[in-house]
Amino acid sequence: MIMNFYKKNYDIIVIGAGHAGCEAALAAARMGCTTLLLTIDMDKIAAMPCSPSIGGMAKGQLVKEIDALGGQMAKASDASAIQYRTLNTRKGPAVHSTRTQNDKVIYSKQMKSVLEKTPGLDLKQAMVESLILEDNQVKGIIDQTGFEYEAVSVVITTGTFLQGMVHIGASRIEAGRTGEFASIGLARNLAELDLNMGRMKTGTPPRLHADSIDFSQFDIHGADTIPKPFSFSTRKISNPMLPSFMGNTNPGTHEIIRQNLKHSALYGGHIKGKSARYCPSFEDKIVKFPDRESHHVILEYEGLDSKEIYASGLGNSMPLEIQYQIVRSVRGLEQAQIMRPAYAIEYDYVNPLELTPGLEVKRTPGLFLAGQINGTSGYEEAGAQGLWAGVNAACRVQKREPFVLDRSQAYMGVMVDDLVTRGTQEPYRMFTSRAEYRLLLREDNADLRLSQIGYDYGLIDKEQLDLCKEILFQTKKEITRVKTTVIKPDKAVNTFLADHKTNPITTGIKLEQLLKRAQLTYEALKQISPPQNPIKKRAQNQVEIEIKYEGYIQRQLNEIKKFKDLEKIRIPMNFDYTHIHGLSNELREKLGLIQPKSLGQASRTDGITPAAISVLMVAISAYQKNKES
Amino acid sequence: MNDTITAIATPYGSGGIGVIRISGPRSFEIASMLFSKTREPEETDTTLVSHRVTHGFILDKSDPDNIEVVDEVLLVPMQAPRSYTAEDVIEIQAHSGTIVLRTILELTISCGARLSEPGEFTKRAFLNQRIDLTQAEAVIDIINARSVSSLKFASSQNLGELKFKIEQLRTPLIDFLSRLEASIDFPDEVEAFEISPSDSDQLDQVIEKCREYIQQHDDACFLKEGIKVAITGEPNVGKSSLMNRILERDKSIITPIPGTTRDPIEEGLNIDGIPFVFIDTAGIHETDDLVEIIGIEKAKDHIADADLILFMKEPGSVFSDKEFQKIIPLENDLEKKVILVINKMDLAQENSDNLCLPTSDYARLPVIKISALLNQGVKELKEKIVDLCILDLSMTTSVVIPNLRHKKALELTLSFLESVKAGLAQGQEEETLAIDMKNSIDSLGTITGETASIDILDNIFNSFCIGK
Repeated sequence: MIMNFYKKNYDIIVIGAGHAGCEAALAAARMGCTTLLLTIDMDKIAAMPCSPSIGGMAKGQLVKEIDALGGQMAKASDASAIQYRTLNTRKGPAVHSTRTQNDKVIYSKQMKSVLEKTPGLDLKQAMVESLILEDNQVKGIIDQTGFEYEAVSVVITTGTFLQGMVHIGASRIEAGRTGEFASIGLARNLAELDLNMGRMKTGTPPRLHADSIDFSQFDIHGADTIPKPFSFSTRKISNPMLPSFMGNTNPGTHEIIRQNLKHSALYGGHIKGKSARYCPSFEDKIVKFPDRESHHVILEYEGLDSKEIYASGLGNSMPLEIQYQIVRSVRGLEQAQIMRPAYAIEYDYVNPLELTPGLEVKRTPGLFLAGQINGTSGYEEAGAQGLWAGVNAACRVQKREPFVLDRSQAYMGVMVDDLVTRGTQEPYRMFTSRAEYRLLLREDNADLRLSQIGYDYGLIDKEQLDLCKEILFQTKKEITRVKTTVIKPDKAVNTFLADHKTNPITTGIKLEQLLKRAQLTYEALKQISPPQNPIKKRAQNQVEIEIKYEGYIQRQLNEIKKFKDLEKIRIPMNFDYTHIHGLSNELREKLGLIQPKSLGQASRTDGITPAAISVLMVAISAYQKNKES
Repeated sequence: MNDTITAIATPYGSGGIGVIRISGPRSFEIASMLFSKTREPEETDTTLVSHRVTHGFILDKSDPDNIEVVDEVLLVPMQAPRSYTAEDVIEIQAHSGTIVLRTILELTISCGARLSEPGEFTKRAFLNQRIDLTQAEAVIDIINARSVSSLKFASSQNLGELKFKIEQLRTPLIDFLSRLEASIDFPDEVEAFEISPSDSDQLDQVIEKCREYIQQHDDACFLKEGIKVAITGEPNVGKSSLMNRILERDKSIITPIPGTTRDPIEEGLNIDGIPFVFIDTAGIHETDDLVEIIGIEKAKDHIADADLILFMKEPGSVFSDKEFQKIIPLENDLEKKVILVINKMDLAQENSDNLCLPTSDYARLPVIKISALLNQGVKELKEKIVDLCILDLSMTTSVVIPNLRHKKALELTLSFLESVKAGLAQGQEEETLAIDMKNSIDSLGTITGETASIDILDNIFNSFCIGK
C-alpha cells in the first residue's frame, strides 16, 4: 500500500530519544497509544555519552524494575554487554546489584531496531522549537522548520540538551553533548511557561586509545565469570566478555591539578551549575580530599569493535594541554593518546517540585518531563522516569488514574516521591540508602513485585505474569513446608550438619531454623529434606531469602503498614494552605508549592513537625466536612 | 489512627483521684489484661460492660509468679462511638499518687498502648466528628499549645542540656550508619565495613549512656514522688505515733494493741522543699495471724524499697545484730541510710545506762532519742533526715532528667543497639545491621524532636571520596 498521507496527529509525542525518551515512547505505544518519538540525530538513539555501562548499586534495581514493567533497558543491555558484575556479593541479596559494561554502538542499534519495529510508534528526526499550548494545555509541537504535530500528551526528555554548554578549560561550546546541537528554542519556550528552572553540571572523563596504553601496569578489575542476565526474559548471552583494568593516580598527578586549578572550567569560575557530590570531577577530589595520595583509575572498553578506552576517575574540565599532563602522569598511561577530551557540561533543568507524582507539569496539563530535565543523573534513573512518564501520558489519553508506585513498591517510587516532594539540589542519583524498605525492594523480586501492575497497565503479556504467579505460588507453598517440617536428630542429619561446619541437633528442629543458620543454604538442605515436588530455582531462591531475612522483613512490613495509613489520607486537589490556622508561613508556602497528594507525602516535606502533621490532619478533615455540609 | 493511645488525663500531682485514659481499638483488650474484679487474676476474662462503672484492681502480671496489686480502682469502659474520642475508651480512676499513676500508665504501654502525642485525644475526637466543625481551630490550638507546653516542660528540665547529650549519643551512631551505608552503596570505592576495638568501645559507651539516662529517669522519679522513708520496728514501739508527729496530724490508728497497722500507710510531706513519702509499716514480728503476715511481708517490701529507714527501739530493749540483719542486711545495703530512733524516752530512767546501743558494724549508725508522746526530739529527727538526704540531692538535681517519653525512646534505642551488638558479634550482614542502627538513631531523634530524616548521604560525601 502506498502511503498517500502523512500522520500529523498522535496521542503522544516524546521529545528526545535518549534512555528516558525510548522507554517513554515504548511504554506509551505498548499501552496502545499512537506515539511519535522525535530525536535531533537518528544515529544517536539511546546513546551512552558517559560511562559505557548500565546498572550498578541501586541502578541495577531500577533496571530490573523497568524490565518487570515491560521496558527495554535490561534487554538492550544483555544484547550489548561485554562484561557482567554482581556488586556486593559478600553482603545479603537485598543489596546485590547488577552492572554491565556495554558496547555502546550495539546498545544504540538494538534500541533503535526495537523502536522501529514497535507497532503504533513512529520514530522521526526533528528538532523541536516550541510547544503548542491552548488554555495552558499542551496541544502539540512545532519543529525547527515550522512543521506542526498535534498530540494529547507531550513528554519532554531532553537530557543535557536544554541550553547545553560544553566546557573544556576556558573554551565554551554551545552543545547538547560534544559535537551535537543544543536545544535552545525549546529551552526558551519552557522558560516562557514560567517554570522554576535551574542549572546543573555534569562531566565525563577522557577516552584514550587502547594501543597507547601499557596495560601491564594495571590490575585486572574483577568481573563475573558466569554472567547473570539483566533481563528476567533473557535466556542466552552471546557476546564475548572483556576485562577492565585498575590503576592509580599519584602525588605528581595531584600536583598538576593544584598548579592548574585556575585553568579548570570548574574552578576558574566558568561553571555556575550545581554538580553532584557523588560524581566529582578530578579537580574536586584533589581540592576536597587533599590528604589522599592516590585515587583509582579504571579503564573500560567502550565496545567490541572500538579502540576507545573510558578512563574512569579522570573526569575534569581542564584545557586539553593539561589533560595530557594529567593522563600521562599515571603509571601505564605515559604514552596515552587522548581520542576524546574530558569535558564538563552545563544544562537547564526544571525544579521537579513543579511536577505531580505522575511527572506531569502541574501548571501545564498534558506536559510530562522525565530524565535529566528533572534534575536527575544516570541512564537508569532516566529510563525509569521515562517509563513512568510514558505510562502516565498514556493514562491521560485513556482517562485512567495516574500510574504511581509508592515507596514500598519500587525504587522508582522512591525516586519520583523524592523528586516531587523534596526536589533536588544536585543531580539526583539513586542509592539503596534512599529506599527505606530496601530489604523488600530487591533485584531478585522486581518482577514478582511489579508484574501484576505491569500486566494491568498493558505493559507485559499474560505469559510473563503467569510465570511470576507460578514462582510466587511455589514460594509460598514451600515456605509453609519449611516452617512446618521437623528434622529429627538422626545420624545422617548430624553428619550433614558437621560437614557444613554447624552444630549438631539433639532434639527435633524445624527446617526453618536450620535454614536460618548462616552456614546452610536451601540448596544444601535439599539433601536432607527435599520438597515433595521439584520447584523452580527462582522460587527456591525466594524461600531462602525470605526465611533468612524473616525478622527484618517482618519489621519492614510493619513499618509499611504505618506508612500506608498516612498515604491513605488524601489531600484535596488545589488545597489552600495560606489560610490554615496554626501552620508556620514557611510551611504554608512550601506545601502550597509541592501540593502533596496525601498526608504521607506532606509528612516527608522538608522541615515539617509532628504537630504540623496533626494540624494538617485536622484542617483536611474540617475542609472535607465543610464541603459536605 | 489504628493504634491505641494512653495518657494520664488528670493534672499532675493534684486531687485525690487520678485518671488514666486509653483510646483506640485495643482499649478494652488492654483493660482486660490489667484489670480484675478481685485481687487475684480472674479465671475467665472480665466482661466489661460499656458505660458501667466497675470496681476492681489493677494487677501487674509482668512476673507471673508474683502478681501484684497496683491499685484499687474504678474502671469506666466506653464503647465507640459514645466516648470523648468516639473510639473505644477506657478510663481508669485510680489513687492520684504519682507512683501509682505512672505504674498504671507504664502497664498500659507494656500491654500495647502508645503514649499519646500532645493534643491527640482532642484531635481524635475531632477527626471522628465528636467535636463540632467550628471547633477545628480550637483543636489546632490545643495541639500547638500542648506541643509548646511539652517543649516548655522539657526545657524546664534543661532541654538544651538533654538535647546536647542525646546529640552526643547520636553522632557516633550516625557515623557508624554512614560507614555501613557507604560500604553498601559504594562497594568499589569504600573499604568494607569493619568494626575496630575502639568502635566497639564507642558503641558500648553509647549503650552505657542510654542505661544511665534511663536510670536517671528512675532516680528522678523518686525526687518527683518523694524520698521514701520507712518507719519500722517491733510492734507497739510507737511507729504510728512517730508518723503522726512527723506529719503533725492524726492519721494512723493508734491503739495499745500490737499489730494495729496491717497495711502500710503512706503520706507525703515537704521538709525544707524536699518531697518525702513517709511509710508507716506494720511491726515486724513472729505471728500466726494470716492477715498480719501479709502486712509484715508488705512492710519488708517497703523497707527494701525505702531510701531511708527509721529503725525504732525503746529504751531497755536489746539491739542484736541478728535482728538488724533481718531488716537491713549490711552486705547488700551498705548504701541504705538508717537512723536508729529510740522512742519513749519519757519512760526512760534519768541516767540512760540501759539504752544498750548497737555494737559491731551497726555502731556507726546515727542515733536520735525522741518521745513521740511528748513530741520531743522529733524536730531533731527531721533535721537529721534532711541532712542525710541533701548529699544525694545535690548530685541528682544537676543532671539531665529524662521524662517518661524520653525513657521509652531510650529503652527502644537500647534494644536496637543491643541487636546491633549481637549482630556484629555474629558477623551479621551490613544491610540488616543498618536497619537496627537506623532505628536506634531515629528513636533517639524522637527525644530531641529531630523529625527530618538524617542525611546519611551528606555524611558519606563529606567523609568518603566517591566518584568516577
